[in-house]
Amino acid sequence: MNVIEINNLTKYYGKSRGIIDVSFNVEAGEIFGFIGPNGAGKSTTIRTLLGLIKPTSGTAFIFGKNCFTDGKEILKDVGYLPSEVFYYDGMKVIDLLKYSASFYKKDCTKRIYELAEIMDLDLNKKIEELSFGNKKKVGIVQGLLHEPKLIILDEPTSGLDPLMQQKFFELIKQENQKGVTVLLSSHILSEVQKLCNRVAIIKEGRIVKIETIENLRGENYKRIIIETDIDLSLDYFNIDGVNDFTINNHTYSFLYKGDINIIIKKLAMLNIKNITIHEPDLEEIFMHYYEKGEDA
Amino acid sequence: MNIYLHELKQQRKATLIWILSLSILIILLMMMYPTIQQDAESFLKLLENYPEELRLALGMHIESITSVLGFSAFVFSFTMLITTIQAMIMGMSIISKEERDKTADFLLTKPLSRTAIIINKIIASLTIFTITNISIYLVSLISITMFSNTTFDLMFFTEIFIGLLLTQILFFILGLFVSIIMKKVKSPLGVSLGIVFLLYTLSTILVKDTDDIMRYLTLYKYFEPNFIFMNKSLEAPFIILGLILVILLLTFSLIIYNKKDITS
Amino acid sequence: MNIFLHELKSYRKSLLIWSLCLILLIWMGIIEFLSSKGSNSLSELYNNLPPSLKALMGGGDFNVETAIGYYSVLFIYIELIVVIHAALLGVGIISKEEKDKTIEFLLTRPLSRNSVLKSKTLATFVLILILNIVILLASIIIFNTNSDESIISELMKLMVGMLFLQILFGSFGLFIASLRKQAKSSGSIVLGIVLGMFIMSILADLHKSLHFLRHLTPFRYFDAKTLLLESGFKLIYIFICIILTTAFLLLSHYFYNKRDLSL
Repeated sequence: MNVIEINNLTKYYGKSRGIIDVSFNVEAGEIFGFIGPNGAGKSTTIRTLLGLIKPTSGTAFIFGKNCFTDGKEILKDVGYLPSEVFYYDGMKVIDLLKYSASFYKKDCTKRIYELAEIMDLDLNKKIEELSFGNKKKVGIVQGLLHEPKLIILDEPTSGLDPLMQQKFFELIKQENQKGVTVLLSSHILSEVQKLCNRVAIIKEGRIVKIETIENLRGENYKRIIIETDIDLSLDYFNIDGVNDFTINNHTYSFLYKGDINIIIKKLAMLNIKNITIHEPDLEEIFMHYYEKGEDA
Repeated sequence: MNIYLHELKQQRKATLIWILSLSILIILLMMMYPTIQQDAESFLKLLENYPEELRLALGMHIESITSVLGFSAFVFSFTMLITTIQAMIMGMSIISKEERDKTADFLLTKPLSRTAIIINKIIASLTIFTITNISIYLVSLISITMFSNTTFDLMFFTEIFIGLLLTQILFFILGLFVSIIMKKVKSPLGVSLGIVFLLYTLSTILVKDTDDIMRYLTLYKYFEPNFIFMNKSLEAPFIILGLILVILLLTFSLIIYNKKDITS
Repeated sequence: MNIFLHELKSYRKSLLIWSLCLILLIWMGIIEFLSSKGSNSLSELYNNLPPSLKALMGGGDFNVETAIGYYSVLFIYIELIVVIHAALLGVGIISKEEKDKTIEFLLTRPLSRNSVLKSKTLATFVLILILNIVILLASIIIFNTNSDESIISELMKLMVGMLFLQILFGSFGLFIASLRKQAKSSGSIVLGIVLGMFIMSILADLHKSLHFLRHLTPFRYFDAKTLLLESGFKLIYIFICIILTTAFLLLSHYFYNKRDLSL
């Protein structure tokens, strides 16, 4: 079952691009990563899902309900953590959390204290006295206190120290094990790599790739680096599946995706001084998609 | 309900200050009543030497000042300027402040329709206006009984306050509407004051009489205390007109706000 | 210099709107005056009103039959509006940086806080002056095209008086914004004080026992009555005005330099 279903979602702000033809599904129980550089359209997509922004065209469904007409029903089971958190000045943390809880028809008091304990949050401080990181913690507790079935996180870890990031990831994983679906937008690949099952990569408003993490880095791509004694002809590796080709002296480096046998045979014909073959990390693949701009 | 209570709590201090300053103003003006009554009465004697139409043109105002109700009407014309400022500022900021302070993300991702949010906030504001009006109603009653020894008709007095409340609602909804059609309200204070003073001054300059055409344009004079005094009651056409305006502006506000993009 | 220009630019639109509203007000007021002119005995009667009643009716002691007398009544409101503009401008030009969270950006440029405040003060005064000149020109033009009474010299006097008030309240706004940490409510406080002063200026005429208020509210320092009907500019008021303005400006520098800016 799909918790989120987005079909051909397009948003223009006047004439300037927001997102174009974005389509993807997030299945129940998965942690779905949404990655892309600044200004690619991550927040626009998320804000459209939440009903904060009205789309130019396209449809979006959460829990099978229309995001643009049934927002009220959907939001009962959604927890949202924005990238920048702003709350009412003059309120204490606990007052804000209680105010937030009051919108959901259940008793969240126990959960508030649990979460505050985990995130090490002082409930009696005033909001305006909190540092950026501590405000973010308020945001996390605020997003999770009503035990939502879908958690939407927009660049959640900025401002958190590594220890808190760790705790936060644990928290998200725990929620996920309870069956909660998570949509995580980020440009920090390590956190996506750690948490997510699948990712969508967005670039200049368009989705360029939707893939499982394993497929993205493990099964399909190999980073191959060889050293030779002699100059190779430039088009020696000009075959299908070779990308990101660089030459440094007699060191040749490229990403390979495709039948391993073909490339091994190709390599076997050369006199090679040294060779490394490894799985690229997400960063490399990510850079590859962005720099080449290829719809692979 | 929670938004309603939250708004009331947030506005508590400001409301208290409005009520206090209004009360001080009213008490001060009411203290003046005995002297002004004397001035006015001596002037009325002088007026007897002038032709009939002149007396009608100016005399109405003066005659009304000599009675305690008529004088109160003058006092409440001043009060009205202040309460409409309160109403307009509140209307301008009640929705726009969420965007300016960037708390809109918080509020609008709660399971509530935008219409429900606006309605809740409107009811909270109406509560505040009602509290303000009842407070100054009581202060006025007390100060009138203290500073004058004549009896007066409580009904007129009550109608003047209903008029004040209606004017406040009108300006509140106008403020709400303006804040929603403007994309970003940088200074709700400045815009509200600009509009209020423009309308107030225009109404003072242009509207001379109860049946002046300009009265329809400047919201100020729909339920003007002096006019209520002269007509002995609120005027039904203006109540209906006001109601239509409120419904229209509110409907437009809701439609536009429901379509609005809340950008971060 | 760049801050100064930036401020002028960012207040361009707002200044335009204030100017247009005031021009509209003056225009409608003057048209109304010209159309109601002629009923001599009415104004004679009006002029016989006891001062307390005139004050209540918003008039003051003017002969509303003459152009300048009428303008003096109108002037009460014009002055209130421009003073509010000046005070809110003074507050806003400082506090908006904190409201919009741009203060970090601004204060991490290689500039002293003093020079930031100086540029902003200068911008405030220039904007105030422009509004003043707009009103002067608008009044002259509207009068000259609709009537043959010439009131230019009186208008000039009124505008000079108004400029004193504008600068005073502009500085007061700068002072309050520099003093207070809570940027959001500074505007309301300044507005409350301005309105309080204005109401005092009306109350002052209501009764003999309240006449002393005239010395307390700057609205009575350069009002049309003093400038046109009585002695003209009073040295003591000019003196008070300059002292207060200087004090507000110095204090605003002192507090702005000292304070922790909230984020």
